[in-house]
Amino acid sequence: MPVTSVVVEVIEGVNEDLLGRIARIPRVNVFGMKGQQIVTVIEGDNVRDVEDVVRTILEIEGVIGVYPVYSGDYE
Amino acid sequence: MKMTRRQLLKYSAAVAAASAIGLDIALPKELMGAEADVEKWVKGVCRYCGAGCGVYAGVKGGKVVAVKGDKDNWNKGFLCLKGNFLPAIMTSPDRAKYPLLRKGNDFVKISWKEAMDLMVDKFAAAYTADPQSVAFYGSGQAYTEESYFMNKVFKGGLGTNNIDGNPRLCMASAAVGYVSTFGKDEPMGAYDDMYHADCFFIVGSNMAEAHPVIFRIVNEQKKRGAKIIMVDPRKTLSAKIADLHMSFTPGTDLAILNAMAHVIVKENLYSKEYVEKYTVFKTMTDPGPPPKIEKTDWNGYVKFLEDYSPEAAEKISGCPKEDIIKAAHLFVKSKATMSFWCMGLNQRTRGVWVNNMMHNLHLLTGQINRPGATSFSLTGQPNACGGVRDGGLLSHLLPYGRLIANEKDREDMEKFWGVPAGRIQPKPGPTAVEMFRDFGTGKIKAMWIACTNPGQSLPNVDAYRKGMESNNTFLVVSEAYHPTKTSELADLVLPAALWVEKDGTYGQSERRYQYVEKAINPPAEARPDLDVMIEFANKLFKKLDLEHEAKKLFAYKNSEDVWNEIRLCSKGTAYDFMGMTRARMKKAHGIQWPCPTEDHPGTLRRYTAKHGDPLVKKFDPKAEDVSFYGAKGDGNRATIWLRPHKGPAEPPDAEYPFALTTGRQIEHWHTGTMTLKVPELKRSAPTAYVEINPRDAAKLGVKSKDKVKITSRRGSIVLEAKVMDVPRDGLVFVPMHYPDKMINSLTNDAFDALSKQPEYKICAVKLEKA
Repeated sequence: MPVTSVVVEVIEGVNEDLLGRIARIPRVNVFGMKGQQIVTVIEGDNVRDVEDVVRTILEIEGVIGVYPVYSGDYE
Repeated sequence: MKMTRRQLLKYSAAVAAASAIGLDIALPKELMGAEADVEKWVKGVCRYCGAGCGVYAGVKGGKVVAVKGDKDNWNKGFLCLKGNFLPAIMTSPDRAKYPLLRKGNDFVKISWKEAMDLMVDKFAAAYTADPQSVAFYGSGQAYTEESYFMNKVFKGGLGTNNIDGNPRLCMASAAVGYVSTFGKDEPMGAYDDMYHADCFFIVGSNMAEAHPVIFRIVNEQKKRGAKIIMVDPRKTLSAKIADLHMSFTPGTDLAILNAMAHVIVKENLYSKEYVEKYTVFKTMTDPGPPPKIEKTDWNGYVKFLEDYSPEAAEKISGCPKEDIIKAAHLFVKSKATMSFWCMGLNQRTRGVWVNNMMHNLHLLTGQINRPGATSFSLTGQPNACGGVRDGGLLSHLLPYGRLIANEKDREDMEKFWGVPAGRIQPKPGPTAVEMFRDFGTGKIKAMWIACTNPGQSLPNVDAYRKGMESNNTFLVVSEAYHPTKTSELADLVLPAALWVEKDGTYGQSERRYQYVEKAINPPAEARPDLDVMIEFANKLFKKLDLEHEAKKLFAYKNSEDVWNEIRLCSKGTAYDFMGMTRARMKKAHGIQWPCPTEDHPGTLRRYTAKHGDPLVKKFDPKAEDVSFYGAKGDGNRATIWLRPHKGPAEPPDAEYPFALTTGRQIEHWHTGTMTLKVPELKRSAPTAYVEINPRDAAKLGVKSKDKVKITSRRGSIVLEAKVMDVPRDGLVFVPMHYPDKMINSLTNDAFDALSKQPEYKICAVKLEKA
């Protein structure tokens, strides 16, 4: 069951709509934001779930990058 | 309430990410002081690109189960998508586990003793018949200790310069560019310069996908007002943040760079003081070989630039003159300008020239030698700098700034290695493409390839694959995986330890050397390459009745023994990292050379005494601050080169009307031997495609997902189309990563006359709907 934290980088300022869209993605937990960076943790039943979520976040208009920081799989 | 294991992990992950951006987050009190659930964290470096991100591998039960970024290293804890999935590359079912011998079309498992005996016999027989018929092809992914050792075996031991490495294919032009401009190789600046730059001039580099963690920092600077100029014939992901995106006909960027210099000179924006104090001017009057170089002067340079007005450059390149003028103004008028470039400039038949021209702009304007102002070439592989460029593995080099062609340098190394005078051959050996041609003709009879995949990565690859599968030669491949497009051609496959299954040193783009600690054992009978290399060298020399030499040359017990010799080899040179003991490296988060003593902290910026380079005063005692002390022959001055525009070797024409360029995607790295083993990355980016812009697609009658046949003078391939407004008209892009769709069957093996680096970035193709 993998858990990965990523910092989501956005091109413009973080607005409520963008933050909401990210927070509403299943398996995503938003822990906070600073400037144009949002700290999220993605949980999945398998690593495929994590990859799907990362891809979904990357496709959101205004997202310029997704940078993993910590990744663990503790099956 | 007690934390569940999952909650603990979730909050640990959140804390790691939050601390990376300096954010405090509220934590449940149960988490305070809790540790993540691994047995140990082992410090190392990411296995992938030349950015060299610090990472920790989390180990449990003899496996790497987790990874996190090193928040005390330059990357501040950040990783990219590929780095995030590092644990998965270690346990692929394709791991090579046993030595394998080819029998017809099959491979059979043999013992290490059988493998080593065969290899020694074959190399000894070839060497005895002709000492110049054995060769080694190394890698910018091997540890420094491995590359140094093989360099010593071949050049110092066997007396052959038939040793080259895959950085010939990616960084040779950058290396020759630095040497010809500044006297010595490698960037003088550091990643720290990004935090001080007000303008970024980024040419031929899709940083967002090729060096994502560095790109993240550039993007951060944009938020504080830095301007971004992106010069690329594709509107890449990186170009999304550009304040000015300059598109141009592929191969015409030389005209643009000269035109920027023209504007700077004509409008009197250059730094007269800097040019007069720190530069000389040179031009090539005859290409040779060898090239004939003559000194010239400021007036000669100004006259030369007259042909490169912005109007003239627009006619050549298609880049609007207004953009050229704007770029020149931003470059010179910003408080500090930092340039980045990568393969878009290096993988060209004029790669050295265009590297020189990037440095020219900094020298002309004084945008150099201070925080934020520097010309910084990005490196593709994790140890192309440390192991191959610095360590001197390329066929024309000796370690740490020494040259094969220089008699004194050869004498120095012969004395250092304790080999007879005259042992090191005076003529540089064949370079990568030449070496594989020689292997194909049988001039080279026995070759050992380690840690790289030329059966997929060479340009015009099919021509060289034929030679590699010949029955008249003997090919050994050391690899962590089998099959690869190279190991499938081998006579003997040796299973290799991968990443943290062995220890060693990596040196990345900003002169930072970092120690990678061993965390776990390799699978089955796979072994660290250095162990195999030491055993081979000792047994080969015994077979050649040179056991007495082997006892002196190859008596290492471990990688630290080799590292200690390497440090000594650097002592007194312009690289001098004698102070980087293994003990220090184990504790540090990398140290930047020069670092001449154990109490020296390392050098952030070279060539300036004011910013801490300890070698300025040593090599140029009269210098007040700046000294290019590697350029003694030019009075410690850098060279501004007069380089004319010259297009690619194979531009589009009536028969092949498109330009093909190749490059990277964010999900994959190099030839995909590692990243394509990660199911998630493979699922995200499973195969190659051809990127075509909508206007060209409409003329061809092609939509996205249609099959398109792409043909060059060397081969053809059928790929699915992706119609996107990314490449400019007349240009198509194909990613390089896929063994089932090898785009290098089409690329051109023409190479730069000075660096011998091939022109992967431009060749002529035609397209038709398949």
